[in-house]
Amino acid sequence: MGHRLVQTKWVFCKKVEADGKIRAKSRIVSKGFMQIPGVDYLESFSPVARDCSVRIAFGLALHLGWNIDMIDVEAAFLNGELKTRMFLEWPEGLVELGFLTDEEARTTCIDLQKSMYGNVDAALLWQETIRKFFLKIGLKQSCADPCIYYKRVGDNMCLLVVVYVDDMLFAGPTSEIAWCKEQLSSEYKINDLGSLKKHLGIHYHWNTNSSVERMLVANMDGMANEIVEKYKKVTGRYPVGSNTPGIPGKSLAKNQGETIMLEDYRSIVGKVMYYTTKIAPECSNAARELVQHMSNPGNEHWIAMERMCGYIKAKGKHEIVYCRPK
Amino acid sequence: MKVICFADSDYAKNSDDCCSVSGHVTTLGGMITTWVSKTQNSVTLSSTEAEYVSLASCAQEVIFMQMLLDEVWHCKKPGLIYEDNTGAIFLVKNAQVGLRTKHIDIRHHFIRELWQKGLINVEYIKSEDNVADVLTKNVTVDLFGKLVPGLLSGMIIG
Repeated sequence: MGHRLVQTKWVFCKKVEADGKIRAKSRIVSKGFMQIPGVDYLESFSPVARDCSVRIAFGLALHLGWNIDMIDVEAAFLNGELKTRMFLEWPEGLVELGFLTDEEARTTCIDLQKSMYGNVDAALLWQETIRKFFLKIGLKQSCADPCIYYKRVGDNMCLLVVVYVDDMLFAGPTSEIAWCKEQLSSEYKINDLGSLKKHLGIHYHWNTNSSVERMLVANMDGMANEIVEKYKKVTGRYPVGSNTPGIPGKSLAKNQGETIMLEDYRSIVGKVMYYTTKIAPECSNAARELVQHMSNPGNEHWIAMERMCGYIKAKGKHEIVYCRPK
Repeated sequence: MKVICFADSDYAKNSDDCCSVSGHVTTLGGMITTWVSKTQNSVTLSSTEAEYVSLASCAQEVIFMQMLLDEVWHCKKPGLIYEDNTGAIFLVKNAQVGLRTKHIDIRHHFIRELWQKGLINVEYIKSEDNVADVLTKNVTVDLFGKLVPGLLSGMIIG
């Protein structure tokens, strides 16, 4: 039986690290769109942990005086076990750089051993691989949220692991966390990022000075700044500061007139939504109204948008605090 | 440790299709875990019914949290939902069919069953103390200033 050759592509990007340094990355990816549904893969959906589950992990850690540590798995998707055989064309540049002769490039191809970035089902295969691993070392997978793994002995909970694709959070006593990291590093190449500092673009710090109780503070100053600057870039001026994210007593109706700056509106709304769902419950209502008019924003909606951006600008501290649950 | 929530709704808020808005905040013993502001899927005939629909969607979140907590550790039951509409609370605790409530869709009665099983309790809270109010409408600057610091402070107590 013949196989279709899948082509590859180089991806170059600059990544800002937690300490602010810029790292140049390159990665070779497959052109996943060349895979044939039903032949090369059957399923492709892969879940991520819900925000609620992540916060429950925070709550339990605060309640029990535990640490929260973070790791990421290097090149996680390369660990996925392929279910069907897959062949790749040689990547661009190998001949020019002298790794391969022209003849070899035309007559041979790559017989892929593991999954890779770009494959449609890469995330799913990685999820299945890591699931098998956790079950092997004795953790259980939660039925409520499949991205939560836990270890309990009798009535005592010992360890909680939150999996967010290749980022993992551990909540537990130091010894249990160390044990789990050790197990992981024997199988995968991991970066130990230590105590939780940055996860999904949110910065965290422990606040211990103000009172006896430990608190976890989530901060998104960076995203807030991005929203305000984006508003300035598209409208040419900064939004007027305001005390609330929505105009009191008003709600938005459908736009009857002309659509105004659709792309820019959508782009800002996207950022606002992320900011809202992660750290700003008080903006939820105003954000919901903005989102409803993503298909046709008019003058009214841009006024509401200014109000929202103005609130974010005037807010100062973009933080939400997690205290020890009672 | 138990799940404590706040639910609210704003009746016929959407001027285009007259749907109401549900808002709820769920907390794990006062520590905020989720917040939702969502236009309801269908038109309701009274504010009580709108609140009842909002209670049902809040109850879904409570059940999820209880399931997860029970699996990994434990949690006290019943979970508590604070609600500012006495009519909606009455509907949960009294399985009766009245003139103005006979039409309510079965799926919203989900909460009634949870209450009977002892998984969820619903209690009254004054509207001006209900933090979920902020999630259903654009509140005044005064009310915003009163409710929001609590919402962000990490400990929400009814």
